[in-house]
Amino acid sequence: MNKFYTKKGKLLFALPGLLLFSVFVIYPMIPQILISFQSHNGAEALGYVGWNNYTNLFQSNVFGKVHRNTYFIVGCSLLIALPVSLLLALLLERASAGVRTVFKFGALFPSVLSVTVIGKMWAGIYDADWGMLNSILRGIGMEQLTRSWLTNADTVVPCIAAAFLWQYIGLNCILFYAGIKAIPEQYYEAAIIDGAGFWRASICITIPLLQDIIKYVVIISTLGSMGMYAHILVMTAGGPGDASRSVLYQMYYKAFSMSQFGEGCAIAVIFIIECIIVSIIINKCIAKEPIQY
Amino acid sequence: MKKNRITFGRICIYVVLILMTIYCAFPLIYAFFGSFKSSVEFLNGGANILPAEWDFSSYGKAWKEANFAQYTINSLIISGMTVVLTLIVGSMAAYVLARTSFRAKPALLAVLGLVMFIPNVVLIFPIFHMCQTLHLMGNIWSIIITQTASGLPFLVILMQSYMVSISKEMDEAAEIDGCSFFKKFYLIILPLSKPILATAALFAFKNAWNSYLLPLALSLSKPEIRPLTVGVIALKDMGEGISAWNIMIAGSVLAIFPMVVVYLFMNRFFIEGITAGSVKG
Repeated sequence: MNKFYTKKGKLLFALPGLLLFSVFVIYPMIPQILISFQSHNGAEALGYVGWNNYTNLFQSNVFGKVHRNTYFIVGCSLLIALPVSLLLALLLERASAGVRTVFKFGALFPSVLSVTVIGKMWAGIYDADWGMLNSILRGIGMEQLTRSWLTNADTVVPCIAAAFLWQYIGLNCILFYAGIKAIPEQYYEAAIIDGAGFWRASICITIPLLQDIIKYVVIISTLGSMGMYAHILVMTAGGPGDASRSVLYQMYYKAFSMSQFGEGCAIAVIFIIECIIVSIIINKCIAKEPIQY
Repeated sequence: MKKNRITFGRICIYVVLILMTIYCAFPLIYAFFGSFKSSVEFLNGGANILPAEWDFSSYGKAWKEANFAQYTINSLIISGMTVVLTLIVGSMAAYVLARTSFRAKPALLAVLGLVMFIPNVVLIFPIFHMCQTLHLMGNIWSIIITQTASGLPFLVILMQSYMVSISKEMDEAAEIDGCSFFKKFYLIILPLSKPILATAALFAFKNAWNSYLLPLALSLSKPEIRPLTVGVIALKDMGEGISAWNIMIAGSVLAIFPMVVVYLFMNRFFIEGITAGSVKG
């Protein structure tokens, strides 16, 4: 076996993965970009229209709205769900063994449910007439707070965000908890001798040492919330009007409901660029040397 | 650390944990018992969780008319095969990227990192067309393959960074003992990478199980290969108007059930996988 052969052989080993990746992830971007410059009804192309699809997008105010909604949800998952699940994990570490077992079982559960089930369940909870939320509000005498949660343009996006985040808070919490367990006990002993309380120990020891897991959770949270559309599809179908559409939902809507595939593809192309920018930002922010224990 | 003193802090801890557990568990409990309510009671609302009269008819309807057994099997096949394919193909690519150097490697890693956040739904239209030209439409493998491919960038990077951290001394020892490149992979690297493989498997399974638009588009012509996510929605159009809510929730509960069984058996494995995997990942 000569050296040349072995090197080729080694690369051959990565070939199935790279092939799948290039055929189904990289290659489709080419027709995507081409269609975004065409008028296309889904079955056939109706000719090139230059930058028309793009200018249409930037002129419509829906485009700004869908971006607000998408990044609102990304923001919620990074600024609310992530700290909450970290806090829960910190508290969980201090809870008794029984509580921990119950919580660990319950926490992962929502993340293995299918998104349509979750969407339907939460749509039921929010329903204006018979939903659980309004029933409870009526039951405790706060009648004035009841409203039609999912058909009100002001409440619909936070409501969807709550349902979306619900699914993964538990999973994130377990990830953090696992990381906390891996921190050597001596660090805490030293801190307690120095008189550090729960908060101080958490901020000075646990959180810095959790860096790697925090990175991982930031990545999977961003990944999940950028790609959010199914919850919207199931819960509100983008309504009322266009109030609760995300970028991906808007793409789906343009292409499959309005048969304007050209514009749908233009949205997709812009979103791909956004995803690449987001990944550069995240890489810049969190690509530091891992901490040594 | 004194663990048994009742302090203000400890009470706060329990209050927060209980609130979160309610937030996590209540929707599930509500949906479960709601499915036993009759249509009339369900639509009257009310904050009571337990039904006044237990009514099982929605389950019969959901099961018979909605073909749930088939959807569940499809979902399990799609998610299971996605995991298997991801692990085989992904770990091989990750191994090469972790253990060899070639000229295109930095560029390749950079591309993987850049496209990692692109959701597969964005590419649905070209993928749809491609599956048509490749005559993959209505074939369950089209869903599995596209699902696998879209998860690869993130998972290959995840596995690669773990494999890089495995000590090279073992490789060298194995090489001296005459192990080939491939033998080294499955005798040394794979067993040592078990935790990250478990993490990757969990992630791939979760994504495949929850994927909606891609299987919807690829199963348009063939309802028999629909997974649960797509099947449950079809229930919406059943029954007379609003009463279908009931059936849909019953259907949703049925859809939860196989997952509960899988979950009960796998819970330990999931948690261990996450634990070991993410600490280094």
